[in-house]
Amino acid sequence: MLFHSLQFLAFFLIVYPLYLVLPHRWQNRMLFVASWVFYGAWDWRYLFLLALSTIIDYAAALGIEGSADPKRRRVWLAMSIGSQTTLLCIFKYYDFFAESFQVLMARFGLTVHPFFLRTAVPIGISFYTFQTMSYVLDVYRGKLPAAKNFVDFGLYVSYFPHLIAGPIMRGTSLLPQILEIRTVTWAKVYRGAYIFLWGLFLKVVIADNVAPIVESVFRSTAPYDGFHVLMGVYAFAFQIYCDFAGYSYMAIGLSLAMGIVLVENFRRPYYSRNISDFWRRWHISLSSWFRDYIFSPLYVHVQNKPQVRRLPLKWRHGVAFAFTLFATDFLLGMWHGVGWNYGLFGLYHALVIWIYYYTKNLWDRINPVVQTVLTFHIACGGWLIFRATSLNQIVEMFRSLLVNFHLPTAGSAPAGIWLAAVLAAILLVIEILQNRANDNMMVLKWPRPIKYAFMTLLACMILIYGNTGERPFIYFQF
Amino acid sequence: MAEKLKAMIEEQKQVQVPSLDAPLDLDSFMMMLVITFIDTELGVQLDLDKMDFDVFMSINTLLDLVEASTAP
Repeated sequence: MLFHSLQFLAFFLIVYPLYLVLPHRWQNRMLFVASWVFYGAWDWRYLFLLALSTIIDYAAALGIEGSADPKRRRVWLAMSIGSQTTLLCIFKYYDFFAESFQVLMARFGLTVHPFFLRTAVPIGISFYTFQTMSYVLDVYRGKLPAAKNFVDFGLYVSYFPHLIAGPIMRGTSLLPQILEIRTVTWAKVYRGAYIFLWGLFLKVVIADNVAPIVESVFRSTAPYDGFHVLMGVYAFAFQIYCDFAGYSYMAIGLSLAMGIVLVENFRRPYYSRNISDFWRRWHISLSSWFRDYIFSPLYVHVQNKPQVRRLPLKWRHGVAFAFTLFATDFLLGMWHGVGWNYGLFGLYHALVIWIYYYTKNLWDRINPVVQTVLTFHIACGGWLIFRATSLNQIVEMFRSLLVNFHLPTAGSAPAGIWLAAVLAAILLVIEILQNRANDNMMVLKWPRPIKYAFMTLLACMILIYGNTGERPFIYFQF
Repeated sequence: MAEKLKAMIEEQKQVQVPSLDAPLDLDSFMMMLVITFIDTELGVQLDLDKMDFDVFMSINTLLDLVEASTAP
């Protein structure tokens, strides 16, 4: 049930009026049921996974809170984290690892026949398992009381606007909003509607219109030409950004209309001035999750290793940082999908951050505009790895960029490139204004006539250029 | 020490930190720079057992960690 589908419109037209008239307790119950209907509409068979994940962490958090014995608390925590990672590993990665094992053995001349599940990856599993894990960890660390009411906790896990593709909400941020009585004001509905409209524009006008260029380049089997590869990577950079940020904005807008604030997930990432800055602006809820629950504890763990403690001060930090960074970013890459290219994508980002760490003084002397352009291209290197369908394609595409780059002759540019260029330019101009105001929603502060004219323009572009093929969101596969 | 930390973070992030309680919004890279700075430039070896991400919330929370690390 895509947010921009008629099916979702019908769903929301039932849920929203009900939400407005019901008292608080019944709002939560109704949203809980609606969220399960929303999830079940994709594939009802995977509802048991959502149920399992919810029940395990509801019980684990209560177990942790109810016990003063540190050992018992640790057992509950281990049970919770172990169960969630097992669910994730089995239903998302098992077939991939089994197949990789089979291929590896074949290289050594051995034939093995591992058991394959042959099931599709349950939609949104990476999002809701991470969300529940952060909740249990926060309860364990004493930052959050355990939810007592199962419906409230179930709603925290399955709340439909962000269930499928985030933003990944922390318990500390979402649970209090579920527990408290919410107010729906005209200002929230108006702001939410604009945020939704902006997200819809990003998705159906930009992302879906540049998608054919990406597909034509990455599906091509002909020898790659550097120019076409570059256009394909540029197009993918805008496709993935507008697709995912578009979904996030729609989720944030829908939720705000119900009086529930979801966290900002994107902050104009292509205006980053270095690669570290890029990760402060790209998929913020995920990168901060990895920072808080993987990077920080792992860094402390590595620093406290006797072998590391024995090193001279400068080396100690360098070694701990490098190890933690590469391990964290590899996991972050693998989180994105089932394929070694995702792990490579993570390692690529770790490498460029690590290089930046040692060249920071030099980098900071570069002109800010040049920094921004360079950072965009460094990010594009990552997108090539991310989008490629095989390791061989990654190598061939990078090679074509370096040794087989020819400017196009008339008519040889990828089809649709001019429309894509105009749409990308429109986005970048709007984002320059957002960046200057440091506010993604600065349009709402404009004088009324200009603001309404802009919104009408967005709506017209959605009607004229909007791709109505209901192309699924890229991040759904994660 | 607070001023040195503030100046360093402002220089690295290239934004103003309005107060010592203001949220810093540091990523893992900036965390690393801050730890290294405290260790090498301020000469304080942080007690990593007391470190979690909350200590990077503001300059004041960082100073609390520095104080806890230097306490006998």
